[in-house]
Amino acid sequence: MARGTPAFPRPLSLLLEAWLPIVLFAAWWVAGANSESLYFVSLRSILEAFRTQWLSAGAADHILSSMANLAAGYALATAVGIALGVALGLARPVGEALGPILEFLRSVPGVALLPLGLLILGVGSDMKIALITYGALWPILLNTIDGVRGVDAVVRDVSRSYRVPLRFRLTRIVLPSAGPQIIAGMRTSLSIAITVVVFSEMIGSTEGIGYSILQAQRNFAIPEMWAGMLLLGILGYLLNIAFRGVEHWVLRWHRAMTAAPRS
Amino acid sequence: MSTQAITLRAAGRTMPTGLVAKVATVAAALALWQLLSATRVLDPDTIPAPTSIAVAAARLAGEVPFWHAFGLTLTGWSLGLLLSAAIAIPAGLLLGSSDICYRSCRFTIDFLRTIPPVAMVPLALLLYGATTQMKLVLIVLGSVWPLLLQTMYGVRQIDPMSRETARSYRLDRLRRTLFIVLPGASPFVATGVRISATMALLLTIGAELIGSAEGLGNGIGLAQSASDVPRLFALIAFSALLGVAVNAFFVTVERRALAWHVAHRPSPGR
Amino acid sequence: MAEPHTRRILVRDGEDGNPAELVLSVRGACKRYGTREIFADINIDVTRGSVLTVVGPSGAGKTTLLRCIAGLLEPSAGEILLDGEPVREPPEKLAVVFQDYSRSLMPWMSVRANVELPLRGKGVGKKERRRRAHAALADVGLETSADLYPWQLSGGMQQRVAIARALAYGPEALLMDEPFASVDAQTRSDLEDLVLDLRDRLGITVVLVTHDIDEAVYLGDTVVVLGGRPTRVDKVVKVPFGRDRDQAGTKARPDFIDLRTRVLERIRQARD
Ligand SMILES: Nc1ncnc2c1ncn2[C@@H]1O[C@H](COP(=O)(O)OP(=O)(O)O)[C@@H](O)[C@H]1O
Ligand SMILES: [Mg+2]
Repeated sequence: MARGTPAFPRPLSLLLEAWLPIVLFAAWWVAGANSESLYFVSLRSILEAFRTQWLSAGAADHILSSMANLAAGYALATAVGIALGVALGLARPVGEALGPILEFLRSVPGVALLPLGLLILGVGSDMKIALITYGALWPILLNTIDGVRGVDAVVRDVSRSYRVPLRFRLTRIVLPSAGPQIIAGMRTSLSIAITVVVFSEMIGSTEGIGYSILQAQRNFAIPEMWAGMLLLGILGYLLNIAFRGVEHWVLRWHRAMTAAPRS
Repeated sequence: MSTQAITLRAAGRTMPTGLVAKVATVAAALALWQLLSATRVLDPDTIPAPTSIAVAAARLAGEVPFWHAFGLTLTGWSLGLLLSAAIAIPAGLLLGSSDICYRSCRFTIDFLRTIPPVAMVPLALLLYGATTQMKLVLIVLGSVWPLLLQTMYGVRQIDPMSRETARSYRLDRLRRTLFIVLPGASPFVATGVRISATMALLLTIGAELIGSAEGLGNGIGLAQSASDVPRLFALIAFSALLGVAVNAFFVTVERRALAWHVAHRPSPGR
Repeated sequence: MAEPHTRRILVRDGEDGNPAELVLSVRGACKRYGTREIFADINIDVTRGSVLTVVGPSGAGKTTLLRCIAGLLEPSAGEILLDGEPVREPPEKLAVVFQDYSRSLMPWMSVRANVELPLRGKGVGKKERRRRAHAALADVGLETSADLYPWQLSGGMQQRVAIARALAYGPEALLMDEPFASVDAQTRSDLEDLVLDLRDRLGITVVLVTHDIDEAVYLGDTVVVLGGRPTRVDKVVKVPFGRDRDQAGTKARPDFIDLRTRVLERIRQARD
């Protein structure tokens, strides 16, 4: 955040960011150690379960399966969403005529399609990837259409009057101009994609992190269930950081511009 | 937390001339689908014709249990959203106004919000079984974050000039919150409400489907087990319509309430 | 670069008595939006190497007219001829400097990339592109700002970048839409002199639209006064100052004051 971040001295600033996670961690550690509850187990046993379950050789399959489906579905959604979004954004009458259909399809709750996915594609990666793609497609597609339509009228005049050919128009004008909105859509899509991965593994699957969590719950292996959730939190956090890194780089002009004082 | 908040544009473009094209496109798409079904390009056992879906939908609409399930989904969704708002908006105002609070909570919030709420389904099921409570816990866990973040961004982006104006006229803290902070942040809050509402509907149906709690989601699961494909499609269509209605509702409210905001003013013609 | 098919049209009243070559002419142009007529029967001739200014009140349709000339908009009736050829789409021989400089430069590109963008479309190689962009930026005195982004520059500098982009494109004529309307007074007079200087050095033809009467008279060899409803050419004024003009001297000349007063009165009359 550009505004309103007064400069604290560095160690103090670090302390400020870290105290709450440390306190929460410690509180759980202490409270959990004496906990009688069946469900809120001690943090020590969760970490122990995390180590045996997720830091061992057998874990790689589950994690890889989840991540591969996530990557495939998300990549597909991004490619289709941007390509289709640019086309529909530029061919404005077509995009507008298709508006109601897109609005309807977007409103289909992704989870409601799972039974249908099972029916058509059966159990397996194809079904999961299709579902992830469907869920993650809409924010990217709709934001791209909006971003492309929002290209400034003066910018459009400039590119026409200087006879910028279509391919440069796309790569140097339309995409960068719609960039911030496309990225915002991609960020929403990422969290949807993670949700759909886990969800699709809970129903109709025998592998993946979601499956492991549900399986642990069914076997009343409560520390293992918590360990799975912890893993998802860590992976999600890392993915977000990676995403922010990419965003930071792609939109460096935008960041600098919004931070610059208005002339 | 990211440096940019999402401001989805709520301003829908309505063009009377475009209406004909829209209706025609929908009709053409349905006709094409019907044709593909009739010629058996689409297998009617997996993707039934629009007419058989319509028949199933009409039958559903005549069933009392369907409306009961519909009502339960709607109640779960709206209660969950209300609860989320009651938590997220005050928390967002606090985090947005105080840099110390913001920086203290940043990591915790970032970590918690990345855990997909469906991962909590097993836990919620253990704790509450297939009940409305279970649904509510899940909905709140999932939909509290977008609203919290948007509110926070909304407060942080308020022009410092208006805060300083308020302070120079010696408005007290309560009045500053009421007249400057809340209205200033409201476009972002409104966007947050819309994102959260969509998320909440998704989670309501998801919780019903995995957790077998009564509602539309459970109905979808049952239709699948019974291999009643047209009914399955009809239920999916109903939940999509519910989604369309929810979004339209919030867009309308937003446009009324925020008519003063730039995004809703008629754009100068060019 | 004279093209073989170019018809050369000569008119009598060139500067210093010689026949001058017609570059651009607007023949009976008219633009309607629905039933509303913005301008009607506009006739304008522009000779090579001259500055023609178009002056008229806000909302008169100056931008609309300029967009028609630039081939961005089709007139409802009449035609635009460039070197005798009708303009149907944006021609390569014209470059436009838009009114809104902050929107006409791409904020995601450096100043250099902005200037080079039109050259990419022409298929100019990288080295040549660099050279031409540098030369154009030097022409407007911005060669040291090539690596900055537009939003790091002041308004006047941004408009200079837009002018450099137009120059690098290598046009025969420059169309400018109220190019200095939103910069401060000092910058404005600097930029006005830049236009005159470019015309002298590069021999470029300029069509400049403005609502400012002083600016129109100071810059123009010919001033076209628009007025009425729908907008028509109310009067065409020849400015007899020749090429030597300077902000302080020219604007203090009695015939300058006389001329601007006459133009002002025309506009007042046209409005009533
Ligand atoms: N696309 C359009 N549709 C309808 N009216 C337009 C359109 N573009 C411009 N106009 C109208 O034409 C008039 C002239 O506009 P403009 O050329 O921008 O004037 P100027 O540049 O002289 O200020 C204005 O009243 C404007 O409302
Ligand atoms: Mg104008």
